[in-house]
Amino acid sequence: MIHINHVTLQAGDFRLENVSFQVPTGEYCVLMGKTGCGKTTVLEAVAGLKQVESGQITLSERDVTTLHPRDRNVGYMPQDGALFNTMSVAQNLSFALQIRNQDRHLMQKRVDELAAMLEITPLLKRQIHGLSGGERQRVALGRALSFHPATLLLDEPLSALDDNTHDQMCKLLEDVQQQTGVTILHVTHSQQEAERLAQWIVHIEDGLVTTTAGRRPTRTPPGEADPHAANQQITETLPQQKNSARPTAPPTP
Amino acid sequence: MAEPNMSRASSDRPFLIGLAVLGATYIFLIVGMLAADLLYLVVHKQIKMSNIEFLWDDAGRLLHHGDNVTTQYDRRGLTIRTHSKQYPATIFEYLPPANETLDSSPATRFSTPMLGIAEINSAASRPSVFQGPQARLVFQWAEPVELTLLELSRIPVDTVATARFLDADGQVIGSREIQGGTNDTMLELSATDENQSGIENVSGLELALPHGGFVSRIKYLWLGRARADWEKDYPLLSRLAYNPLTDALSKPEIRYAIKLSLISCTITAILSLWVAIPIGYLLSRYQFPGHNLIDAIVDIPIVLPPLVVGLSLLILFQFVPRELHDRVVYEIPAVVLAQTMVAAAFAVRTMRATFDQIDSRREEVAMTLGCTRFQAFTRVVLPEARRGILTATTLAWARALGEFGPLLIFAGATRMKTEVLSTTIFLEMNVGDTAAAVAVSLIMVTGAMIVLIIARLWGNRATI
Repeated sequence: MIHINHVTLQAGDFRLENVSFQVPTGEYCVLMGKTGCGKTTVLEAVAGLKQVESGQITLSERDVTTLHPRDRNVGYMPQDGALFNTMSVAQNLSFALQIRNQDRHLMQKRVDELAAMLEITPLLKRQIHGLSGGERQRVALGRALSFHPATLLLDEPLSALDDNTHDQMCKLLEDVQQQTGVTILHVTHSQQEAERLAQWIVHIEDGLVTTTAGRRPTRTPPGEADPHAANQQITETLPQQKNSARPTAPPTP
Repeated sequence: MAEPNMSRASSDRPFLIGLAVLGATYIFLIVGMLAADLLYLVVHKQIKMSNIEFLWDDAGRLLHHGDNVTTQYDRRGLTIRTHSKQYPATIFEYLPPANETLDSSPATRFSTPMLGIAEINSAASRPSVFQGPQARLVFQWAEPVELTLLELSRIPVDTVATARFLDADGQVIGSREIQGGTNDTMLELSATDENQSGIENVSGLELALPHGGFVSRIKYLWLGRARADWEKDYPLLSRLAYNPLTDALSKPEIRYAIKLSLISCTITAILSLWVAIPIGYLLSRYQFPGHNLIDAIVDIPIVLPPLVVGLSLLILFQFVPRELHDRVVYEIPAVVLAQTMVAAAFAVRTMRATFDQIDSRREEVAMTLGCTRFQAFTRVVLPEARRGILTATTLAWARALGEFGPLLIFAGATRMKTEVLSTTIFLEMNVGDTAAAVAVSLIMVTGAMIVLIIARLWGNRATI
């Protein structure tokens, strides 16, 4: 569960006020908006890479607002992948586990597992230099998933891919969601991606945040509260958000 | 379709040629500069000037009135004898009166000692000047020399002294007649008429002094050492074994300078990196109050005149405790410090640019993967900055090697103490030994090249 509660963000001379939305556990939420609307900033705030001015961010019932990124248990995959160029594919995948001083056999097992899931087993020994765009995204995805995070944050993961690869990656993301049950927050400006992948769509437009249900049916794991209900709650609070969430540079009276 | 392409290609050509010409001039200068150094050493005639004034002998002993001179100058390739062993070549400081009555009139003292032919008179304690038609001083050189100056003195009026120049086979290659004069000293510049250089290939000089007279000075250019027999048979090998480079390498001062340069430059490169990585990283990643000020301050050593850096360091050390001052100023630490001041600034620039080029996303990802800031820095950023670090190290090292201005002021130019290679060039040029200076330059070029190549090789390996 990702719960953003009345969060105010400042990045340079750009400001987002009073952002609230939530994503139920294990569901796929696409965060949409035009370039420069602040969607990436929201993602970074969830990852802990941007300080929040006010408000609260809760991940899996845990208040992480002031936690260091390493303590938030989120997998983060930025736009270009940001792979570690000095390491091989396998080393990239096992990086998080090395930091956690995991046993070498477990590490190897996890790397093989990830590679199988992402269909990159033949690439494991390769260096990053020379990988194609799609391959890079797969490795970046594997790296973000390697330590079993509860939340996966994707920043424009498909924007630099050609149509064919784009399609494959969409399928892969769906599969990953189903296999791992991770909660995904996916930032994009593409309507097509949102329609294809989203169970929930959060729109940021002129500082206003609106949440709607996506085309994909939501999956309600047994014993969980009905996510529609949770979403209903958000939609109900929407009028309030519309009043308060707007850019304040220049500040409006 | 082909038509516009053709016209476009032809219209681009003048521009490209212009670029090539402008660029080529500079490239040509760089290569030419280095090639000229090498060429200079190859074609350079090893010449040493010997200027014998009969004050000291080769061993540095003072000569006195009455000393016989034969092989005292053999280290300069010169032996001196006379027409007969009975009348030795002798140093005169006093001219005995003509009438030989030593006691009655005081002897005339010469301003400098002079070489003449003595007649040993067992009765008299002082030698008198031998005169006669056969009176000859014979100079012989082990290696052919270029005779540039022969200074004769006290040749009596209305008499003539004759100098004959001989080559290695004893053939006469020239002669001069020197008229006696009223002047105390007669200067004979034994130059050919067209140019001012002396008489070349002289292996012997016969000086006939039938009516007395002295040699007060003799000046010549020569190889600087007597060659062994094998060298005459294999001149190329000899050239390889004895050239300004081997000459320079055999001097203990220069060997010391090479050692000090290598050590101090390496320490400087390490120190520079030590400060450049933190400053470069901070400037690249963080905006903090005074960011721009620090950015500007770091550039100061680059834009300051080097001498000012040295002087400012010297002044700074006026304000530190005496003990520290004495340990640093004009000592080896001053060398390292002066080099670091400038080299580090370049290293900081390089590191800053390096970190700027590394996407900060990578550190952010590393942090979400479980790294602290420090771990992200050491595990992700530093390995990616490897090439930049190498470049910075190379740059700092090369900068330090060439540093001179601050060193001269802050560390001094004491031989065998604070003398580094750049100082050596300065000192050798000061004493007019261009060949040694060029040789040392080439040593520096070689050192810099080796470092450059090593850095390139490592750098390339780092990208694979």
